Amino acid sequence: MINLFRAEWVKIAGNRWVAGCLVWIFPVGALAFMLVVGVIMALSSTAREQFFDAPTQWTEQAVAVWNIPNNPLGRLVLLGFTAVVFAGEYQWQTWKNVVPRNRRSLLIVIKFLALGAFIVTAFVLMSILWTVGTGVLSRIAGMPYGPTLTGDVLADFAGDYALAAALAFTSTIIAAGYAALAGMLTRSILGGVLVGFAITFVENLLAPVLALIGLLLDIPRIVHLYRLTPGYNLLNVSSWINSDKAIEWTIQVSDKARYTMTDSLAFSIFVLAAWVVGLVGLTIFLFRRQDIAS
Amino acid sequence: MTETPAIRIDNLSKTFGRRRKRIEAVKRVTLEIPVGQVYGFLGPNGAGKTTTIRMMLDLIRPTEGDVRIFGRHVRREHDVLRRVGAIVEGATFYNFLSGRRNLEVLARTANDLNPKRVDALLEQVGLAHRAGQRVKGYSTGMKQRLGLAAALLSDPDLLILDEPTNGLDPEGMHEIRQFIRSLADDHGKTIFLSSHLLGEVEQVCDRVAIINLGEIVREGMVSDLLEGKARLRVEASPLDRAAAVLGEYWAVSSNGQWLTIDATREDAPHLVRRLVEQGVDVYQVVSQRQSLEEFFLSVVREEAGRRD
Repeated sequence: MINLFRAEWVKIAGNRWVAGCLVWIFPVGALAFMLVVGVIMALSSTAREQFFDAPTQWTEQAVAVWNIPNNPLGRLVLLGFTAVVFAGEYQWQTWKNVVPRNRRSLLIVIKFLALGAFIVTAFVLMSILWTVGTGVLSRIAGMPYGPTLTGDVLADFAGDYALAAALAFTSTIIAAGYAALAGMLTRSILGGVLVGFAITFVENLLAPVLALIGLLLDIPRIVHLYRLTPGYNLLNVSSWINSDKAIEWTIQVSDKARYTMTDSLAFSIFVLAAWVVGLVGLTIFLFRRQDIAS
Repeated sequence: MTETPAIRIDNLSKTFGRRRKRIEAVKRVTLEIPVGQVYGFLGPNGAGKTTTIRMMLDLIRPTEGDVRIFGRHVRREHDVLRRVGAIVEGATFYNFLSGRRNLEVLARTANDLNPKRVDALLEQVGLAHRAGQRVKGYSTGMKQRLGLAAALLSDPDLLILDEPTNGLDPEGMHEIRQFIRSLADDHGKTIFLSSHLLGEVEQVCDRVAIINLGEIVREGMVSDLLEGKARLRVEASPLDRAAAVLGEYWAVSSNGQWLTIDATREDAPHLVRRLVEQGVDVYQVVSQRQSLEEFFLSVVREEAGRRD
């Protein structure tokens, strides 16, 4: 298993151009941003006042970075990356070398894990750079950068951070699930990216589409199906981590029918877990039956 | 007790598509390949060679029938493929990784990385000096050599090689042919070799199967298949009298200068005796073995004629 994981890691990291443009761009971008802002703040007192009009906390900064993989734009970028990783094997005709060497189900599971771990690593790096960078900028601006590190603070922070990282990992696995299925259907990177984007786009459009269907069929409660989508639940868990409360999602079906969704953390974790298991399971099921004919 | 064959294929069929687009790529193929042989698998383009090979490697699900390798079912006992090394339809790799990295990735995928073996194989296939360069810059021949190294990574007992000399120069082809033969003769490996280079197959293989339109149309030891089609060329005088004498026993054709007789080398003394007894002067009797290429073409044409 460890060998297989390392093989997948080398393949993912070795595709430097793709990994650089779609994953490493986040930590590198954070570093570049900090450097530019640092130079500006060092040179301009106005900038120092404008950038930090209120003190910020390192615990918030470190966790905030993890929102990127969960928001729609971040998910699209990561979906492009996962599409390359899965559909690439078809386009480069490398499945024929790999499949006889190990069990198909294990190949898929490890590919998902390596992909998730790779992206989490990139975001851990980004969060460290971002947190340290913000600390340096706070120092330049003469602002406090708390809280002071105590056992309780560290325990709270570690819990939030682990949950945020787990959420990003989950988000990546779901994106990878879309990309893997799209890649299997189209057997090309571009096809995988486009179909994956289309699935994500449809998921984001689902709220108004469900509202329209509810209006036309006169079953407005159908909008509650939106509560089962990964996007909504990722945002809900993110809200629980950052604000300690549920996200409030309102869908107006008609003048009389207006639904506000608020769900518990446990509900969203359950739905996301079901999506992960479902997508990975479906990918394995299809891959085990698929003919590798090229 | 009979030894378990290296490969046993039973009633293997594969159909692609449905209804009007239905294509029967492989039809009820049955083969048995003993351990330690170099087995040639011949057929024109689209005959079903690669589809059969892909089913042997569990890349394609058979519609019917099954493949057993060293007595184990490839679909149900996938692990048996760890004893197999293969090149399928040209060697393809991760172009963004170096040759060495590609081999390491494949070895790790099989949970069998031995860095010394990787180095030794790179040396053996003549790629040690380019091992650190990305495969993107490799020629077709270099990729093919890397493919052979990849196939040998786990020191397999069975090698399935689909066009292994594609893209190699004549010297490289000769090297690979010798290498394949030595794997069987010196190391007891079984080689399943698919090639369109019939001269290559004739030189290297012990046994061959010819597949055409998805069906096995001939199968046997190379020497037996060609022996059955042996001919003798006879230079004698008077030629018409010689043709009449020999025509009583064998099929004879004449080009005005010599006779071509459908007879084996063992028939030569009998044939000469007959001619001498009938007062025909014999100047030369030459045994002409049909080449595998001629045999292959005659079989494929015969099959096409039979279908028409």
